[in-house]
Amino acid sequence: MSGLSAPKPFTPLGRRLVRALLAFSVIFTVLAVVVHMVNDYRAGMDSLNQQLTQAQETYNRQLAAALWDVDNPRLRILLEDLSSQPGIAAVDLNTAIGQHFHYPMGGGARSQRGDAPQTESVLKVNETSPELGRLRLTGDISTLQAHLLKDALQILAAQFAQYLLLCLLIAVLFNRMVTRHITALAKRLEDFPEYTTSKPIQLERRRQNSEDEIDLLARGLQQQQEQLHRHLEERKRYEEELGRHRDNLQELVEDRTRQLNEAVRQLDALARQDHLTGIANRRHFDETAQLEFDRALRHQYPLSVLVADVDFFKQYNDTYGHGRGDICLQEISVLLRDVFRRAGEFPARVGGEEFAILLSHADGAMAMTMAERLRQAVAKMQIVHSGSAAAPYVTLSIGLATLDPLHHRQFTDLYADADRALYQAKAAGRNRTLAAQAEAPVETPAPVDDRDSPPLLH
Amino acid sequence: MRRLFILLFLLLPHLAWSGEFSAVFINPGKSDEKYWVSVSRFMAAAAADLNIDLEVRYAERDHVRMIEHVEAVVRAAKKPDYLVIVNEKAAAPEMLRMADEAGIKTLVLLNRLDDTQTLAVGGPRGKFRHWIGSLTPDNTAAGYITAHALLQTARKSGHSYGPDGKLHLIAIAGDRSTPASVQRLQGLDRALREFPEIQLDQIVYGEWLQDRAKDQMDVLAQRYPWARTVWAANDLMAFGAMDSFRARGLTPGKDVFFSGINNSREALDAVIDGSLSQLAAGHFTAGGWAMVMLYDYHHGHDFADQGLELNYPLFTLIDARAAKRFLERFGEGRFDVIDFRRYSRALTHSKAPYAFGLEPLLR
Repeated sequence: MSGLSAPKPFTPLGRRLVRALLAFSVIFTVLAVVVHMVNDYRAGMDSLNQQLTQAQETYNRQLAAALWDVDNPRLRILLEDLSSQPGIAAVDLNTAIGQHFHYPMGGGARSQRGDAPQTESVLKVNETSPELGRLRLTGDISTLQAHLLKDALQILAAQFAQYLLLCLLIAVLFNRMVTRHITALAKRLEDFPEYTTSKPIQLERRRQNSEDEIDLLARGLQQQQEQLHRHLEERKRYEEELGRHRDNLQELVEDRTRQLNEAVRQLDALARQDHLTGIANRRHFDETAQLEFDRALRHQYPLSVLVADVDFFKQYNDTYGHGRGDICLQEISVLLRDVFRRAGEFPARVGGEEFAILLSHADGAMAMTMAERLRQAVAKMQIVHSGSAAAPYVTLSIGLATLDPLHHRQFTDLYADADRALYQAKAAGRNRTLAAQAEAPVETPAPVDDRDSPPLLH
Repeated sequence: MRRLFILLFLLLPHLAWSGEFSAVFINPGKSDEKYWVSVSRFMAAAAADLNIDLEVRYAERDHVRMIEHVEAVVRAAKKPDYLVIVNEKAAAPEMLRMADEAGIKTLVLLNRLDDTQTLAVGGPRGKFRHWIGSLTPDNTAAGYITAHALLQTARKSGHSYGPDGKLHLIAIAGDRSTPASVQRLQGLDRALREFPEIQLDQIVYGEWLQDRAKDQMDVLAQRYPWARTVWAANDLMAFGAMDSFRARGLTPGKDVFFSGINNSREALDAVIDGSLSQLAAGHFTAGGWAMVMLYDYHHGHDFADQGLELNYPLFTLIDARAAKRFLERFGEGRFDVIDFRRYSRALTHSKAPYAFGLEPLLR
């Protein structure tokens, strides 16, 4: 049904009640009038017939005498008299000799309705005398009808007036007793916030000894109002509590997030740090190196990379154990951090005993200087290494490559060059630095004696 | 000026012809009704002969007016010596009472008081002592002589019998109450007893009117197709019956026979031409004879020796010859040719009974 969607027009209950009452009273009145009219009509017809019979009985003898005496004036007087009797509409006399009298005069053309009662009688002076004429009396049904109509109208008017007043009274009473209160209740319900918070629903009614439906409704609404009120109070309390909880939760989340961030940062640092030496690991190096490579290419500044390898480290581990080996690597790392601490200098441990150092803004010569400084610093630490064939202490072999935009498309190309230079430095006897050349790597000068250098750590 | 003239005119008769005494006749008929005018004329002729101041007041067939006339007479400054009234519509007792109170001597003419009236007021010179008497024509005789003569005529004609071998008669009476009407019917009844073969089919009351009698005859002719004889209580009703038969192609006097009572010109003519078989006339003379009686009474010759309520056979059967003579002698009311003084017992010093009647006048 569309009733739910389209708003229906408002029709007050009282109006519907009055309409129903009026309709009922109209039907009832009409029915009553019809019944009344039918009864009256029957009674009227009966009395009409009686009147006709009486008139006939009264006048027949006189009429017969007048006919017998051929006393036409008297006959006319009698007929006129007869026709003016109550209940008689027309008098027709047909005499045996063919005369016809019709009264009232001038009413010859007046047609009587078919259902008008009629009586016909034979006029005789006495039982044995010949028939003098036939008298036909026609009942005055129109007067009866007019009378009935008048009656009906009177009854209708009286009944309608009565019912109208009754309807009015009922409408007023209904309004006073029901509609007013329901409307008041509905108004209160419409103003919801006020309804829930303000004073309890109270109807403006006179106090009565007994309760009725309105009281039940009002009481029900009161109870509901109280329940709703309680419920809302409770909800408010819960909401406040919930708010408090929400605030706590936010703080907690912030705290946790902070902790998590810290952890992530630490984790991230860990991920980029070599766990043994604390300097950047291979992954970190690769990321940074590629970035620096791209940047150097873009800005056309020099970039060099050093790849250093501890000479005979396997033998060191074999000789002194892995614990000592780790310490050795840590010491070298500390040194790396110390040597390459300026901006653009980035040392990392890229393998077991292999380190790589990215040098931004450093051309080949500068890089060579830096590489030599590192090699000499390691040598100066004088970490005893009996298994080394190059020296009695730990030494480094270093390969160097400088960015040549013509050859190096990416960092791995550059790194490969540096790695190749390292290989050549190893091949050339270790403890030296070799720079990669375009065709052939340039050999560094003969290794200097670093025995004088005090060991850094042990 | 005009009023003075009228006054003079009214006083003139008294001044100019101041007769021996004065009398007022309250004529119940209309002032243009032939019968009642003839009554007045015959009366006036007698009054003139006897030097009586006679005033006639017509009531125009209205009994209320009749009483009003009496009232005017008894209240007049100069009351008449005598009052002559007719018991029309049974109004006589009231008129008698008024006249008696006024002390006017009164004579009742033509219609006597009927039995119930007589029971109430008694006879002349009794309760109303100024009521000196009455003069009436013998109406029974009128009914009898016309009926008798009519039935003889019908019997003689032979072809007016019905298939049952009887003569069928219709009687058209005047009215049911007037004594004259009742008495005429009694005369008819008496005559019928002498003719057993006559079948009186019906008596109807024509109220003295021609048209009404015609209408009634139209009906009765259908009801009694063999009726060929009609007795009527006056001339007009006889004429009405004639009209009805003529309309059906029958000839009065030949196929149908009629009788009537009166002295009208038409009735006399009808007797002469034969359409009216029998006619009785003469009661119109009563007024004249009343004048004679009053004259004699006034001059000390009271009629009491002959009775206070005189009933004279004033009617005479008029045949064609008599009718012609009547018309020749009197025309229509030229009654001054009659010498009424001859009938006065006072003037003739006679003790013989009055010889009133029409018959002597037509000899």
